[in-house]
Amino acid sequence: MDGKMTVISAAMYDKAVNGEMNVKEAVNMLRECTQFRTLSAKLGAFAKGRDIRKLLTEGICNNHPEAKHDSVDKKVRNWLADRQTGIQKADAIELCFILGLQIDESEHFLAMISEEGFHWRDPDEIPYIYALMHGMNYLQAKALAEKINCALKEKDVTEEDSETFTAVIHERIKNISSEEELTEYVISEASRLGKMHNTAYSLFTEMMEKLEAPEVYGSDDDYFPENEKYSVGRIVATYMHREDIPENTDNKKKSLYSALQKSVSANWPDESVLSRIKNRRADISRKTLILLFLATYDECEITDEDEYLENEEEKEKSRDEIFMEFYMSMNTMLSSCGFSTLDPRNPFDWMIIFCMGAEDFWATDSTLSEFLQTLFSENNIGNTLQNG
Amino acid sequence: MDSRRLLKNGEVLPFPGMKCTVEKTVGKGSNAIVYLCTYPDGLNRDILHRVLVKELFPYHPEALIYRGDDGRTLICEAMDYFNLQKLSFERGNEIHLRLLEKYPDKTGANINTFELNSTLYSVIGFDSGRSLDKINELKDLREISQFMRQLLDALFIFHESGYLHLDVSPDNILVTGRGEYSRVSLIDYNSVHHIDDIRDGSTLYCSIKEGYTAPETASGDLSSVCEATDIYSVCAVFYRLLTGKTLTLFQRISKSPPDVSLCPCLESMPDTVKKQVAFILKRGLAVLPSKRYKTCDDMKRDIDELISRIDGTGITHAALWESGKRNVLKMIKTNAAFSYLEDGDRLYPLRFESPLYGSLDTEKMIEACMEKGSFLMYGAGGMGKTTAFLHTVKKQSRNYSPNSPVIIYVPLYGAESDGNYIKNKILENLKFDASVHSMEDARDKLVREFCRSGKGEKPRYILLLDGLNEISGDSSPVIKEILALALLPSVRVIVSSRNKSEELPFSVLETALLNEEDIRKTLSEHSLIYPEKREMQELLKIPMMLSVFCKTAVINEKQLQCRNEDELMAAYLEALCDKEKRELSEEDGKRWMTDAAVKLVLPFISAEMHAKNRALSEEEVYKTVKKCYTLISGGRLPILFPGWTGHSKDIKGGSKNAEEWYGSTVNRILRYSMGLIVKDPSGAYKIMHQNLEEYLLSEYKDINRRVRKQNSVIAVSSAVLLTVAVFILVSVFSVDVYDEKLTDSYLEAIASSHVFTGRNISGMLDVSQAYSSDEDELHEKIQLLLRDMQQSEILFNSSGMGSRQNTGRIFNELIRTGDVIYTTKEAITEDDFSGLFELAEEIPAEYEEFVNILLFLEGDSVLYEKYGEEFITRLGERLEADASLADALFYTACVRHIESFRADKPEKYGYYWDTVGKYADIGRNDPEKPDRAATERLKSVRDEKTRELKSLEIFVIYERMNRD
Repeated sequence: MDGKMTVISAAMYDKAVNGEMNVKEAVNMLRECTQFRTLSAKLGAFAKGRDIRKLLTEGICNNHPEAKHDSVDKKVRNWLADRQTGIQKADAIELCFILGLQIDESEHFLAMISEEGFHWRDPDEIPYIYALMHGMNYLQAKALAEKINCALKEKDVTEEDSETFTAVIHERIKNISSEEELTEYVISEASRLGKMHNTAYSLFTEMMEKLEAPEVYGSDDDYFPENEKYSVGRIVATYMHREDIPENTDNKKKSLYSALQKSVSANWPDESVLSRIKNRRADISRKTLILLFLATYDECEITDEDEYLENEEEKEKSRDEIFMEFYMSMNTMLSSCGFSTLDPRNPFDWMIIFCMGAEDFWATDSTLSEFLQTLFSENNIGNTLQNG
Repeated sequence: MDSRRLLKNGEVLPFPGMKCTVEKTVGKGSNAIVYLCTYPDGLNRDILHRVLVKELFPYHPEALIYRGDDGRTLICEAMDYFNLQKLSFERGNEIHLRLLEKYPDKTGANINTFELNSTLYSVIGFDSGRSLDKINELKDLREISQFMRQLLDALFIFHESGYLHLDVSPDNILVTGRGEYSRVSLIDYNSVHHIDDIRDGSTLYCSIKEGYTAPETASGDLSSVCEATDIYSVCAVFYRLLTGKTLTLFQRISKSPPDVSLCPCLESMPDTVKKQVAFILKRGLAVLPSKRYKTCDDMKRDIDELISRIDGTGITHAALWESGKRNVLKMIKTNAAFSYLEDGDRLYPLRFESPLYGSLDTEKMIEACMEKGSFLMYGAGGMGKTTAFLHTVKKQSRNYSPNSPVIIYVPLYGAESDGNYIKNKILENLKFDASVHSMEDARDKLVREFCRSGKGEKPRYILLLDGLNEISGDSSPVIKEILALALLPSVRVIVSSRNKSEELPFSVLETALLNEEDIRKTLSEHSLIYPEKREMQELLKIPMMLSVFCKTAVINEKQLQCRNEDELMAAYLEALCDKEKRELSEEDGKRWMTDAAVKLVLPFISAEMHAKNRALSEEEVYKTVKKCYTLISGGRLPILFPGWTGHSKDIKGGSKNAEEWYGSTVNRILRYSMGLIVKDPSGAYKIMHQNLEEYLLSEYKDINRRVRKQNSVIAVSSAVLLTVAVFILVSVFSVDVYDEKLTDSYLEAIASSHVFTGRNISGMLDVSQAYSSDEDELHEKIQLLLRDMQQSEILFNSSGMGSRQNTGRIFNELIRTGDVIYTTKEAITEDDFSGLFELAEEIPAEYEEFVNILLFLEGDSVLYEKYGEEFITRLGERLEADASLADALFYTACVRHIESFRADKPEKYGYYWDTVGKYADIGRNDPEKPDRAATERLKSVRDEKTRELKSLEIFVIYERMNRD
């Protein structure tokens, strides 16, 4: 158990790892669990007694005069009706301003709503951080961000390898007192900022390389010709469990998804997403990183006979140790890339933790598959969450 | 961008009692800047002390901490931040001082700290070190490993004092000096914390360095931070030294350790070294601190093991695997005879039958051995025992694993009566470190290693001991050693032999013959027909014979028509010669050399091996080749091989001496080209297979007979000519006399056997004569006779003095030493004594039958009345014929030579004649000195007497009675 967890989180974590439930029971638990935070609950937690629907609707309309009031209201109603479990980060940042949150509250809010807090090293987000710290409104923040972005594009930025002192960056930004100073800072430090994105991308690239050449891992595909690589499509089909989630194109089915199903399936990577990430036309998402890690963590095992014999040592590890290793590696990866670590109160994360703790380590992949198939079986589609 | 303004060169820092002048900037960190400074000695003012001065000057991205206009004083506009950094500086300085107090010899000097220019300055000793990130010299794996030892020693002083460094990275490792005088120390104490402070929840302020910081530090999991946290970083440094790169995030979160197998420094390293490097990385970089090395000493032990493996020293699992593999692979690579082992898929099926475990292949044999215990593998020559062993070692050797048993091949061929032969053989290819002072030490360590249990009590070593039947002399010490080794906890043994051995209480595995399907399949792959002759069909069930058959047919490019093993061997050798000669033009003289190598040198080598009953050293092979060279040079070609007449020069192939000829015949032709001779790991030579050795031995005997015959012709033709001829032979053609000592031994051996023959014949004569007299006397004579016959049977079946085996051995040695007996100037041949032994070996069984018939007749007065007299008469005649023949044979083999010795040295040989002489005339006929023709006549007489005796009806009656 992670010592930093809240009591509720710890309880959820224990349920995921204690090995007392089979997949069907776990899915049922997930469906009936009141401990998962719904979107409405998350939003409500930051309402501070105000009419959240009215607050958000008016706030968004102010920021986007071109948008129709009814559309915005509908969007907000959907959020509050838990018809989705998360909000895109960019929107979530806007809500921070609308809700009038301080910087620390905003961090917390973002992590809950969009799975990741502020990227303090991200030149795109730093203006919003500054803006929140200095009481600027959203439109002012957006203008500042655009200004800095333009300035950055004019400058040729090359990445530097430097000592990481995260505390320094926090401190520095806190000490910036003007927009000019901020602009100057971001431009001068641009080569060191944005590192996390690069880290995540480097990691993504390494993982994709491993999956593209599966023969290294003793592929069972005896007919796999040498030197031929798996395409992105094949990687998605083989490793991303797309087949376990009913087609997103089926909007009718999708509309019947419960909040839980939506939460789990939201932003599930497909071939198009992976290709765009590969070509640096899109950022890598936390969910994508987690699924790729699961795929490559198992695949990292060399199955050469002699190497296998050395894995006698692996057999000496207790189930707990094997799980902790897995869990810590996952969290190391996430935090190194600037994402929040696994949260047992997030349904997707809880599912991942449960599958990582499968009885037989090698069964993580099959457990995940079974979990998704059970969650998205015909019987379960349309089952709604009991409590919001 | 770092815009901190440095102190200028020449700037003076007026510390109390120490006015330091800045010479240059040597380092810049996030917390401080380090300068090289000097100050004059208090006494010798012209001599300067050099020191490092560390100035607290934290980096601030917006330069809110900067140097004032005076170029010295620090101005700070971010006091909170500065104070945090100052705290870190002060704490680091305190820890440095505490460590210096405890380890003055291992810690850099910390002279004093001063407050000046609104900041702090620490004056530290200068020892011209360089940080590791600026060093490129460590490219050799051994150097890297030695460096790691030193780094762990440097870290140890922190841990022992309760501190964790928490910022081990190349820029914080200082290297002073070079080579063996280098010293490694850790610098930058800003992240150093006492472990108690970490445990009590104090804020951990430390640097996070990508690629070096342990996961628990990066995630802030203070409860997991411990010594293993620093060791993670040390291991990350190890990776950097090996590859020149920093660990990536993917490598840090992967389950497997980072792959370093392609690093240049590992390129030429044995597999055991690579495995150890991978093991160290795996353990050191484990995600969970509990799975890493717990202490610096833990990791140092594995680094020491790595160094041992690099040096190839030590008696360890890895070293034994390495040497065992190396020996077998070298054997296969350097001996054409083993080239068939390169392609394991083309080997004939190797199967073994066990009464307990059924049919096993080599893999199952090893599995069974691991689980059930040691085995004795037996089977006839050519059945694939050695192939099975070598193939097993080769197959098992692809990659080292500490959890797999090491399989060691030890040939027993020629093993001497030595209780440590096997251990010495295993140890002879290892290198030892300074802790081993003698072979006894080494054996001791080896036995202790063999006693170390493996995981799950599995054996860690399997010894494949090849050729129990090929041990020289007394095999009991070797058997005792085998039994002792098999009892060791971590050892299993598989011994191969041509026969079962009652002395080894192991389960047995019998080599299985190939079945007809196997044979037909192999033949059809070579487009060959299954032979019609039953004898050949049976012969081809032996894998080696099948191999020889196919190879011969393929070389000849035609179906092979052989009727038996000898013909097959002859055809094989001929085919190899033809193949070799095919590459030469008709005029090329080397064709003759090839013939000579196979038809002369090889049989001689075979005979020498047979005589010594072991493989030959290079020197012994050379001496044998020299003998052949002499024969060729001595004008004997027309006698040896008439077809070679006139080609002695071609046969020598331009070699000026025997040494040059040795290189061509033995190494180039017989070993590398034809694979008929192999050199084992200890450098001894032997014929590629014992079956071939036996065939070649018969070829040698044939050659020898021709040589001896030629010698006899020379000796008999004219006494004078003989003397002259011998003189000429001796002086011009280098004909030698036999070694005197060996001649003594030879004659003594023959005489010893003849003593028993004499006793048997005399005893039987006494019995036949006592038959018609007193019954008690008869029985007493019979008892005496039976006892003597029993003794002689034991003699003839043993290897002791007087046995045929021993006599043969001495004979073979004797004829190597010369050509003639020095007194008689006569050559001796095997025929001289073989007849004597044939007679001696026949007698006991026959006489026993005669005695039984006598007793049979004695017990039945009716039969005695009818058949007794005739039987006694015929028996007597037969016994006289035995006596006469024995005397003649003894004279030919021994007496004539002893007579000449007695004449030459009466004081030495007089007694001998007195002892042996009485047996020189068993028949008391005082025979004339028989020649060979006379001996032949006596043989015919004996045969006739035997026929007459055995045609008596009493034999038929006796046989019938026995059947009933």
